[in-house]
Amino acid sequence: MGIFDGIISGFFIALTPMNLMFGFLGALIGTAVGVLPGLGPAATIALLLPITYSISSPVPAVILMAGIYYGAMYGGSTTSILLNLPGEAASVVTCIDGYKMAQKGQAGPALGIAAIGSFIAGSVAVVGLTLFAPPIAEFALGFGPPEKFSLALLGLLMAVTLSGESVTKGLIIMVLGLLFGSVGIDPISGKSRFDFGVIELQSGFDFVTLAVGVFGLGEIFYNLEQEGNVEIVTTKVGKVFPAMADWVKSRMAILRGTLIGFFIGIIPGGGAVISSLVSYAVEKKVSKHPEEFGQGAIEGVAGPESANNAASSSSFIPLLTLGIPGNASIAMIFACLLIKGVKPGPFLIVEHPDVFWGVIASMYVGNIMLIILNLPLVGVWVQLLRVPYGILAPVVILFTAIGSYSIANQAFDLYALIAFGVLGYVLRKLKFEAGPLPLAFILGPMIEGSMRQSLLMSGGNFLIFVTRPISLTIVAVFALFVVGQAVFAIRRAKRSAGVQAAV
Amino acid sequence: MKKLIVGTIVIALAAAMGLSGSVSAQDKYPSKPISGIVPASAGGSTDLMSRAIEKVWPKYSSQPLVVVNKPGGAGVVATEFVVRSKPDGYTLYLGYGSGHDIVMPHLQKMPYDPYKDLVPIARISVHSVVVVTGAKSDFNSLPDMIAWSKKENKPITSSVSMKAGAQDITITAISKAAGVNIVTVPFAGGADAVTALAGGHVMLGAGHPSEVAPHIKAGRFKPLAVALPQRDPSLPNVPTLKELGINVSTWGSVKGVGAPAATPKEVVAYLEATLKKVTEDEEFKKIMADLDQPVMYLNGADFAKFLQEAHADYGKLIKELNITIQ
Amino acid sequence: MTKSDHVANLVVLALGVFVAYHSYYSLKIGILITPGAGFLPFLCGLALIALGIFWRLQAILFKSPPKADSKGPTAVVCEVQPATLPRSRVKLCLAFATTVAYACLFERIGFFLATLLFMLGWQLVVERERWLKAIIITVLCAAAMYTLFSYLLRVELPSNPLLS
Repeated sequence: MGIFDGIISGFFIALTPMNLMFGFLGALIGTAVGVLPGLGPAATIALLLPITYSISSPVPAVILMAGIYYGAMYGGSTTSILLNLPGEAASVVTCIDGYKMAQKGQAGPALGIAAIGSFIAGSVAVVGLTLFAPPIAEFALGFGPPEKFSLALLGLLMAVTLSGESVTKGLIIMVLGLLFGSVGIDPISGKSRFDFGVIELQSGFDFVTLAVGVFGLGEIFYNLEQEGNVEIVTTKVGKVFPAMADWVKSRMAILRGTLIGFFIGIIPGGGAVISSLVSYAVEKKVSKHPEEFGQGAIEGVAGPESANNAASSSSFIPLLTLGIPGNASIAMIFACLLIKGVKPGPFLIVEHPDVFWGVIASMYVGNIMLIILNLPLVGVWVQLLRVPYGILAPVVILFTAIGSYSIANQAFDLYALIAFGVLGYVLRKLKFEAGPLPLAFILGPMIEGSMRQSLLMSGGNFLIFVTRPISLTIVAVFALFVVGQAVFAIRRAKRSAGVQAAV
Repeated sequence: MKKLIVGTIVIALAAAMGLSGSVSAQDKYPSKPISGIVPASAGGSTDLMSRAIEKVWPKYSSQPLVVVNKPGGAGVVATEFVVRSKPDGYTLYLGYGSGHDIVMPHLQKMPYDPYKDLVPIARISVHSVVVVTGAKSDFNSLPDMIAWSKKENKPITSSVSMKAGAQDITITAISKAAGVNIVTVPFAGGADAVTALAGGHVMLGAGHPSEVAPHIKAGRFKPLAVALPQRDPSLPNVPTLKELGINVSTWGSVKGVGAPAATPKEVVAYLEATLKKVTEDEEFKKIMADLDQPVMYLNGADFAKFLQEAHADYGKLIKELNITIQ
Repeated sequence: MTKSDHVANLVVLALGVFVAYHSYYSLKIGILITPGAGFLPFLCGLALIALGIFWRLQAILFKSPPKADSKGPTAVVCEVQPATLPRSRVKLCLAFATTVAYACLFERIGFFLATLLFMLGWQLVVERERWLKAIIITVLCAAAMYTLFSYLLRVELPSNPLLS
């Protein structure tokens, strides 16, 4: 079946009343789940999996779950922007400029551009998926440990751009994040690190607990200490949608974010995080006013949000074409398909074309449903900020506590959440930028694990990182970036020395 | 006065809601859904087997069995959760007999005793270790690869799902038995290891049939051997290691169901009977066949004996191979 | 360097030393071509020490003139402390204590009751609301939470062990 025929048949499948209903339900649940801090799409899909057993055909089941998955991506930006609460790794970068925009009264445009960017990116990514899925999947297979190492290292370097004013402080935060990430059992040696006898630490800290604690709870503690009433400014309630000027500024960011997210998202395990980081760094670099980043630049929201949505769409590619799930949510969808007797992989398109094309078509439809769902909601969310802080703060704490607890059903996570909240508060007071922390936390194990795997593969030969083509390319980009930074820094130092001499 | 009335009503409402949701202990077992704790994340072979059970279970029981994934700590977190849960039959351990039950206790101190703190209820399946290589590989058989390695004096690289797990031990045993250097590269789980081999980043890989069968069918892998005493019925054309002259056979991964040791006998009997019916169910057998997981049922008592045997065998192997977590 | 920065700097240095020591002796760093479990943490420990020193040097060499703004930590820490703590500090401490209490009670008395007490405690102690308003807010929020998480999303939350 040719691509064109396939897609047409897919639409016929996706647009049946039952599948439309499932798609909408998925989008709705997904948005709700994304908005609720702590509860992730993977957990929700797991909860709903048994319900799908009673549906005979696999198509509506997968449409439901896929809807939840990217609905959560849309919703995750909401709490990031409004409350500085990232729902998942990919939304952390959105917090940085998104929350600042909300504090300046621009929550509406921020949410709006996030939704629009997500829609464009998601739609383009699905088109890319339709046309290029098999060759891209093979490309993704070529990403072995050396490539993952180089890419994650690149991501970490990009995370330095999040360090705000003081690079030294940013690096300290990054190292702290790396250390937090190494707590727990080390997969390469089997040893448990830094657990100090506490059993719960053997599996390491949970990302959501850390990010939500440091960003969200820390922010709440900080706000509580401010004299006078804390009201997140929403005087300009009328400006709920992005203005034309915002759109003009963001459209290139959205385009770049889409491309970055699409390609990096194919790589299993961390594609969305790295793509949002790379997008932020790229936007900051090409911007004519980079000093705005970190203070509420709309490109800093548009780019990463587009990137993470494109990544979540393209992460379906390895699943549908190779049968390899790239992250926890996709793994759930994978499990559901297998239980129903559908084997994702190279034969999926031949054995079950209805599933393959039906799911892809539902992704188009899903994106449309989500933008229709989310844009009007922007006004509603903005109103949420007008709830008195005396009620908003404890309710948010409750949400995050329940979310954290539900990850492993242990009270330990609640204590960890509070401890991270204290850390976030302290960092805020000491004028540290917390951004690099959760990112280093995620990237650290990737970098370390991949490096040690690569060295095992090569027998200790470090050249493995540059003799393989993909890895070499990434290392080259990395080197260019570092050199570029150095040159820039030297020039700036010379200029200020020149200014001082002239004075 | 008005405030007092309103206040009282409100507090009464609150108390009522607080009291709801509790189940009295006199209800007949099972009177609420049962949690099946899985020590792995979704999509893995243990998870899929558990979901197959979950799907078929409602046919034979009035209450559903709900799969709860608790990955982490290489499986220890989940098992410990079950060990410490209330022994009322509402928390079960799906995947009893996995690597961290039969292999890990030989290598490090466990926060519980996998044999005293849990009662075996049924063995569902045994996942053997299959040794595979990429289809594009220059080698068509394990002896070829071994011969090459000895001749060129270069090590063979192999992906394994985790350090000192069943696959790692099998490959290390092959290495010793054949007298060749095989470097095992641990990955974060079976899927990750298989993906690495699929990408051609390592020369050899070990996996369970459910993990490697799809790739073999897709023509991406060539199966080289199985680590069993006799050939695996789902892979009849694949020789055993013994046939190839390598004297290694391991139990791979055993997957069963367990419950906290103090669970009442009637509850255990109910679970055992229900699981037996599940394993004999046609739909269950079909799903497991689709998943490339053989159904190999043993009842509680036999399973207990089997676990002890497998545990002891691994102990011997680990001593021989001098495997430690340094 | 403000007092808080000074303390933080020492903490960073101390942490660096501890981590480096622990990694080297307990975790084994291996050799460069086969890094052990302690390899990365060891480097992190060294990095923290180096960065801590660098931070201190930066502060000493590039003393910036005291800023006029009154919102930075400098103002909070170095000003003459009033005889009693400002209300906002008290508020923060109470909020923190309430949250910790919630964490402790969560599994012991069940989700619903703990949430109820948390919200009530917050309204009364942190926000100093009137009793009636506090109770109404508390019950509404707790009911909403329960409905959302237990009924709609079916999240597993501990019920009151004293009742079952």
